[in-house]
Amino acid sequence: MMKKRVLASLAVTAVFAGSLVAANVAQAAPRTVNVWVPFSGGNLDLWTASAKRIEAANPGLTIKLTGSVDMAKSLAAINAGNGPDISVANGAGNLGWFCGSGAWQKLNLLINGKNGMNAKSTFTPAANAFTVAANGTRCALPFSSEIFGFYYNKDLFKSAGISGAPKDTAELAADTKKLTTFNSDGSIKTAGFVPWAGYYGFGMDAMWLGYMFGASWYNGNQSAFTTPQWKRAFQWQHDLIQNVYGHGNFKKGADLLTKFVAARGDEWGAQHDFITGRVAMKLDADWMAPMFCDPDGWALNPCTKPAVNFGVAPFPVAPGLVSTNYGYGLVGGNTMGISKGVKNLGDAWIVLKGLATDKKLALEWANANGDPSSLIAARNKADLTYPAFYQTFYDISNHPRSGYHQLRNTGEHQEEDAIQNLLAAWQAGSLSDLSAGLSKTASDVNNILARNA
Amino acid sequence: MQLSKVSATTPFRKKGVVVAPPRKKLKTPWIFIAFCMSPWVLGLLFFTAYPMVASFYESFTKFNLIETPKWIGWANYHRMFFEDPDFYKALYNTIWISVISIPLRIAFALFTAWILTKPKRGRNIYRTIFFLPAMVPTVAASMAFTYIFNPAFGPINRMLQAIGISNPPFWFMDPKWSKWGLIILGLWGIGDTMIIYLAGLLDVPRTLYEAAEIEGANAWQQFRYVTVPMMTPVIFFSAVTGIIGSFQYFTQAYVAAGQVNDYSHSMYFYATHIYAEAFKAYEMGYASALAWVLLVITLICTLVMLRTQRRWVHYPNGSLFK
Amino acid sequence: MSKNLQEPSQAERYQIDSRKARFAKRRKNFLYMVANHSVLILMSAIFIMPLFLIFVTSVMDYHQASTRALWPSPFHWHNYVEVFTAVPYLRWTLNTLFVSVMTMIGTVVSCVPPAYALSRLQWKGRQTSFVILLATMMLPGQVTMIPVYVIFSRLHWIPSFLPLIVPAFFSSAFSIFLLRQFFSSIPDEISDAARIDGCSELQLMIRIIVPLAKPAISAIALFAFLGSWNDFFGPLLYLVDNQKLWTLGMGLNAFRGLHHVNTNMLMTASALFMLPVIVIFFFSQKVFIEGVTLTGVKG
Repeated sequence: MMKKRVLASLAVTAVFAGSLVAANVAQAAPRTVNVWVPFSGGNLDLWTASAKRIEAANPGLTIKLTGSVDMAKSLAAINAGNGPDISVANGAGNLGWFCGSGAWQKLNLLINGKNGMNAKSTFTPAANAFTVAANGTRCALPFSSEIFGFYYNKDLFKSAGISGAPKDTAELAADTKKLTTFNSDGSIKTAGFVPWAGYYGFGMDAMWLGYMFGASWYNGNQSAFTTPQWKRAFQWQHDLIQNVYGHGNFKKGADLLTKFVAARGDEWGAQHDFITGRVAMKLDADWMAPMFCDPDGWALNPCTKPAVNFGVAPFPVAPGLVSTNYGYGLVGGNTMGISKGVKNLGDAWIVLKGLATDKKLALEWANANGDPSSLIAARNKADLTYPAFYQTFYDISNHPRSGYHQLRNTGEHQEEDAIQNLLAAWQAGSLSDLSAGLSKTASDVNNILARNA
Repeated sequence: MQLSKVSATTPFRKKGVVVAPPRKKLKTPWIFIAFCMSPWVLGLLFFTAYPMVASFYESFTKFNLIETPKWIGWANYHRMFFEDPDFYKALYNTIWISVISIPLRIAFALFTAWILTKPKRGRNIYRTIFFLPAMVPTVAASMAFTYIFNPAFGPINRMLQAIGISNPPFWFMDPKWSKWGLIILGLWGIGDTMIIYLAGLLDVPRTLYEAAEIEGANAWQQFRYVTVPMMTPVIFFSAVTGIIGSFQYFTQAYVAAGQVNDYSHSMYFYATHIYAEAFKAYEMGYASALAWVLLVITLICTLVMLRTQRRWVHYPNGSLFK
Repeated sequence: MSKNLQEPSQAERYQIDSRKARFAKRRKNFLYMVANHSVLILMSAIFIMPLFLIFVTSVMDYHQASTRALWPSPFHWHNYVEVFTAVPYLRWTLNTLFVSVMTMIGTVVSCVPPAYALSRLQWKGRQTSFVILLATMMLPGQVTMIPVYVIFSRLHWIPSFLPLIVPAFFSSAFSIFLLRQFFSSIPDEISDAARIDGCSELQLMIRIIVPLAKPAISAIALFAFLGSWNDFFGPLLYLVDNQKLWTLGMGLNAFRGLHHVNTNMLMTASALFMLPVIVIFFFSQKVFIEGVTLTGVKG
């Protein structure tokens, strides 16, 4: 009897395990295209509607859309062999990797083929820049753009007697000095501008800093971290910390900022330092504007009563660059690609192209979220609703020098991480020789490039 | 005396031929042994033996999960030692935390266990309290520690300031102090090690203390010359497992680093590096090479420990007082 | 016998001395006790403090938690309700519970027989098997991690609970080891008697030995459950894809990145995450401590 019970429990276990397996191996029908997107809620609905339109235009084709899957997860699934046919990434930084590792396949043949398209006349130059890797390989089509700008608190500017957004880094430092106030115990009460690796955000602090100084990422096949622009950028950060926050003492300034950063409000919502007025100026993405307008609902329009009275300007740039570069900015965006080993490449391309060129989707998206579309056809002001300040983002993305850094296969944007980590070491005071540090970082990046070539 | 051993020599069977019907089956049928051992044997094959062979092979390949592994010889090992700054960073952090935290943990566990042997009443209550933190899920504990050690509003620093330390460290937010935060987190959860020490301490025969007392040893001398030598086997055990454990130290550091944006990689350990290479960068071949180097390091450390144990570990049968 | 009246006799003096000595000793013991308990109470306070701070913060609102408030006033008990609506906390709890219970079942079912064979049966290769078992306990998991991941991904088991549960049904060296230690301590006479009574080996194992080994089996069941409940690395590897599959550890780690969640709720979620294990601990302390002791001393 005991034996039976053991056998029975083993059988139950086996059946149970079996059912889990069965549930997992859902076989795809031949003309089904699986699309995984990182979006949810209303945004996912827009995509679902677009998928329906593509299905209607292509009888027999089924699109299975799954929301809330970010690219890290899609990539894990692609690598595990059960990924989607099409996946969508937020941000452009990993394109070189997706392309180089083979997770996303090359689209050059498809785009020039019978059912191809003219990318140049379809997408903005910036969008074409962030979807094509260094050697001309295209592994993705763009969706919306992600544009970084300079947010400033108008009320704080007014009370400090500053008339407008700083155009160069010297003005920025001077404004920071005017806007920064201290508590009686010496800690920072309000900070002007905080160029600090780890103050909110997405590990892009060093990248932003580099943009302000017009630093480039690659010279030919080599890392360009050794160029003087990077050194200037790092030095500027150091001096700002020393002069403004530390009253001449770098260590003191860095300590105060560490504490200030530790006490920051939550990133998502009304507690964000920029909304509470703890910080007066902030580099950030265009899609933060809806939150600054309406921290609960994230509604960009009409933004007549924003949570904080703010303005948007292009990044301040190094004094020598104002005439050529001011107005330019960092432009990335959503990219979407077709997984390697996709069962039906033809159908996947139809869906990918359909999604990327769906003007209705692009317009609805831009009107709901703000993010300017990468699709030229969806950038007519007449079709769009956005508050006046938001025009700055369109202007930045139209600037001829705007774009993303050259995209190469450094794995998971390891060049971005490397320079960010260096900035962290630099601000922590654990890097004594800046030039040596930058050269070392450059040679690390070169090693990665050589290995992944 | 095992009965089955006897059965092998009993005259019921001769060369497999049953001479008399065995009324009492004494020899265990092999099929039953096979049945018993099968879960472990299959597990050993699927989850240990095959994976070890495979990962050894993969450590000589470039392998990103999508494409089939491509043989690249020693390139992964060359990269590790000559081209990978993160490897040295991770190794440094791991060795640093081993060297500091293993002795500290041993001393602290010994101390907490020792003081627990003292009271005649209430020992169980104290033991429960001391043990409780070991029950807290690692993720929750790590989260909580980064929170209460926050330099700006965390209660710990406010208490430190209240007792007169005007510039308390920034803990997890300062690359120079973050590992100390992790060490404190580890000491807080000392409970399970402490229980082992406590059991060991309670095993020390009372007569030894009495003998020492007669010879005029004071409390400290008793601790030093009776307790510690008797505890050396347990200390040795926890030192060995401590070294193995520190090369697999992951969750606390990963969670804490994620909470504070540890860009300077002050909480980047060997296991973190393997994880990042394998499952962030999908450098499966390189990660396998890292894992094999880890195995070799662990083996060497264990062997060295075993070699030295003769000099300082006293097993109960040996003499205690020289 | 007052001192003033007459000199105490020899016997009386001895009595007085010994009473004095006894009193001195009692005094010394009392002081020792006070000192011991002071240290123990102080240390208890230190051990308890983080838990206390977590609890206190868990009932603060955002403003209190991020400013310099030390004590919540008023108490925001509502946090404990809100955490279930702000994130899929219930879902994560059920996921964690499911994985932990399955792991526990798998461990017990798959570890009792090998431990039994390794301790109570004589067979060729037993010693070798045991040595291999000990060796695998020392093996760093990273060495096997990647090929195992590849196996699961080829089986299309990622993401799912299967990679977390199925290995438990193939034994854990640690649990076998612990059970074996306990099984070995059961006298052989018991088995002999049962065998003579005509008990089959399977019956012997399940009916006689397993009930006797209840404390050890409870211990490995408990360890398996807690190990799984607290596990972070496994879910991190295998549940990547879907928030619906997340366990509490995964959810908690990602807490900060989730929109519309304030950080003060982090402590509420942490407190809720700890609560079940602490409750389990209070009910199973004896089993637990005996189990830990069994693992360490024989090590």
